[in-house]
Amino acid sequence: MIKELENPFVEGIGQLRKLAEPCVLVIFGATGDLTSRKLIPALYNLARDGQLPSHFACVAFARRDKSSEEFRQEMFDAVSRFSRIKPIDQQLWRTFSEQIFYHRSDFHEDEGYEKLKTLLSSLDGRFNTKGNRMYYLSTQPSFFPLVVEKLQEHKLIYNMNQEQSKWSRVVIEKPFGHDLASAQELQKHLMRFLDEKQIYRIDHYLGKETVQNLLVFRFSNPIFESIWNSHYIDNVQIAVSEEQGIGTRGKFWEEAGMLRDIVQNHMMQLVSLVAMEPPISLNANAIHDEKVKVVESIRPLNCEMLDKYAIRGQYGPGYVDGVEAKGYRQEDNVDPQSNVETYVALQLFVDNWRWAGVPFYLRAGKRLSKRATEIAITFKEAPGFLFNSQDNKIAANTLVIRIQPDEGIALKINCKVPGLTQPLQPVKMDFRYGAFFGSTPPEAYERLLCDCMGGDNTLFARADEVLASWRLLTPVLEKWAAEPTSDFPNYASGTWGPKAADDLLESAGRQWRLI
Amino acid sequence: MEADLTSQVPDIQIADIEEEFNAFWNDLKERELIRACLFNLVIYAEGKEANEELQEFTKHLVDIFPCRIIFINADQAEESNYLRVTTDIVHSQNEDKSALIYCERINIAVGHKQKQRAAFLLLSHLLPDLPIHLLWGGLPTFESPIFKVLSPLAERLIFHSQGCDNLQASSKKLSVTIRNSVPSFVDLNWARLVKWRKIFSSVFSSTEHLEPLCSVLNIEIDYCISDKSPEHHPEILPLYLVLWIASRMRWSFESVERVPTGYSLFFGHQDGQVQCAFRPIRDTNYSSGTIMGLNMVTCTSHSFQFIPSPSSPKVTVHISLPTRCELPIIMPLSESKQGLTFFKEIFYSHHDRSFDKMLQLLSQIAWPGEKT
Repeated sequence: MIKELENPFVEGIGQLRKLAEPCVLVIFGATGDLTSRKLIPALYNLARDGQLPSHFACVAFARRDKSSEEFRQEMFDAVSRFSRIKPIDQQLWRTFSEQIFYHRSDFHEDEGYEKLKTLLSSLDGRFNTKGNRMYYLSTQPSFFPLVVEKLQEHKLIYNMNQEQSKWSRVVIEKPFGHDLASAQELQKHLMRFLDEKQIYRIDHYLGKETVQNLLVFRFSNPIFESIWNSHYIDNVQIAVSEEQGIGTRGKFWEEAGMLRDIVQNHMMQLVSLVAMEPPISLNANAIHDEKVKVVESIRPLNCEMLDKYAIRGQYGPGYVDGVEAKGYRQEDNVDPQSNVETYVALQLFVDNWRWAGVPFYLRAGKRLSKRATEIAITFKEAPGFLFNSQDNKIAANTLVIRIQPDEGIALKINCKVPGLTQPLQPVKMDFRYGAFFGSTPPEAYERLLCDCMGGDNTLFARADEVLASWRLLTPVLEKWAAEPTSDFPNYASGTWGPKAADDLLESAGRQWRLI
Repeated sequence: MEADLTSQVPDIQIADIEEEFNAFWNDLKERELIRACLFNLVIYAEGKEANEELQEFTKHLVDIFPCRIIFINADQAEESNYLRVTTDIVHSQNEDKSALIYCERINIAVGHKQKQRAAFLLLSHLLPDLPIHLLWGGLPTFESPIFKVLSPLAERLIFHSQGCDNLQASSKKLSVTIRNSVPSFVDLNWARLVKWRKIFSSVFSSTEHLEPLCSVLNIEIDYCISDKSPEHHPEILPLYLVLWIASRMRWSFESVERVPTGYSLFFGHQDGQVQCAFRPIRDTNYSSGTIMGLNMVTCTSHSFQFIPSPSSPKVTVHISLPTRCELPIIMPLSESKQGLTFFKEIFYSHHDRSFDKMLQLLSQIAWPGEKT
């Protein structure tokens, strides 16, 4: 056996993250939207930037009948539309597409997995991918257990303790379960076949540049970290607002709803990153440990609290950007009497020393007035005896972290209006990513795929994180399922959500931020 | 990028520099502008060629990292005695073309006798609270009055090793300057090699490829020489690359000789000797020093060929093992945004000890035909 030599050329090239290793990526459910809109364009851009491993192949595993050539052509069209960098480099595409193959099979077909195994072995020989495997489950969640079981049965997944010279990893898309019980069951099922280190639960928000900047911002700027607590902060608002409706995903939405689709995963990740303590290091487990502590510190939502602090909504007809928009119940594949929520507002309390008494207001909705994701930290107002008067009102300082679009950070402060009198004017200090760092940052999926190939799971959700957030939110789901609402739809498309959400804050003397 | 708002009044009064900028911004108040600045960049160029090259450098830079540029163009003639200042606003565009990003530039043309004065002129025009980077078009030494004043202020020294007349002496002087000067520094030519170094790091990341490299016999490196601007050492880029490989592989330098086709360097390693042949190719389509091909052959019959594409910034790597040929690998020589890797390497890379080791090796080489 050849002794592993240390690569002497790595020093000084500034790569702090692990290099992506040679591997074959198998995408299950590859004829779905995710592959064409995100995964293949991400791989293409990685290849373009030289970040794809030098030895790599991709196999699309799906039920529809087509050839590799047909699939490559479809992916060319998709990359032409969805790549962040255009136009497509034809020469690069030619070489890149030769690494993409299509394998037709049903998910339950044993013969399909055996043929996959043969194909993968031949790709190892051809592309020198060393037997490393990355399985991306881009299927409906109900297929996750079956696919993993079949992979194990056909020895396509390796036992980490027995196989050291090659690796296999499974990337699982959200949602991980649809409530606490199903998430626990899924986790138990996966652990029969995989080690936790082989499971990569993807949440693409964690791959966003600005979300990663949250940790850098908090922990490299002591000026903010020293006031990042209940002594100075009045409330935290986190908003995920989309102007689009559910589109063609009616079937999915009828089973999921906003709480499962956005709140349980993306928003809880944002809450964790805002509220966590500094980790002891930047290694994956240190960060995951702190995030789990936050979620476990959130006050459980009992029945009384649910009525008061959990608001749901569903969009009705209205106007978005001046264009007429139909209501949720008029969308395709949606029950005309559906009670599925397309809007959620929650008030949470993180019961620990840092955050005691500070409300975290979360809102997420479809068909709202505009597309924006942001975190707003509102600080307590200054004592009013100096500048507060009939003509003057001191505005609370607010720090806003814009996740998308127009990524950046803004701080609202008070200034004096020039002149003989002393009226105050809030002004904004604004840092915009695009202005200072003009280049387009990598898409989230590029970063995440690359990290998975390099064996770095920092930006993926750990099992206990996911289960903790399900533990918190499952009571909300159960209550809403048991008590269908009679006032849906309760907000018009193009507005900011139901009145009940406004009442939630007004009852505490606050208001939702205008995004 | 174009400077479409150049001041039409050359030789402005030094005291009016900031007022000139204020006037620009006031005039442009009505338009949707983004004024941005990440750092101060003081550029020193001596001579026409250096001046042109660094002007070109700033054009690409502003597209990626907006900054306040103070461009000093120094006259080498000893009797020259003038100091002229102009200002302009330069801009780039966001990729989605949604807004223009503007930044400020101060241009100083200085005669030899006024250099001391120019040094102090700069001090009041450096934007506070932002890093100061010094880009020196040539080898920086404390004998220069401008360098002497600015180097204590600079967070980073960027220099340009092209055009130095004696490689061995220059590398020794550079080592001294670096030790006594700013905390971080980077050579533009070293930064130009970052993608090559990443390609190497990627190709030789496996033992299967790395092990045969330990017994390499021959390295042939082809590089471009251009008649447009003759320099003392157009081979500096390929030389840096070969010396970097040699220093990483811990080869010891043995000798250098001039051969009809160019130069050859000889290194010793545990399995024998490796000959590195430098072959210049005349081609006016490429800038001087561009690496046009690299071929490595080992005594175990492994061959590694790196062939840059003539039409796009890519390298095709052909690897032949004794028992088979691997499929060619195509690797990019630049990221999708032109020059991003290069500029990141210049302004954000950490101190690279592999550069120090490469420089140490360079200081051992008495290049044939050089004046001592």
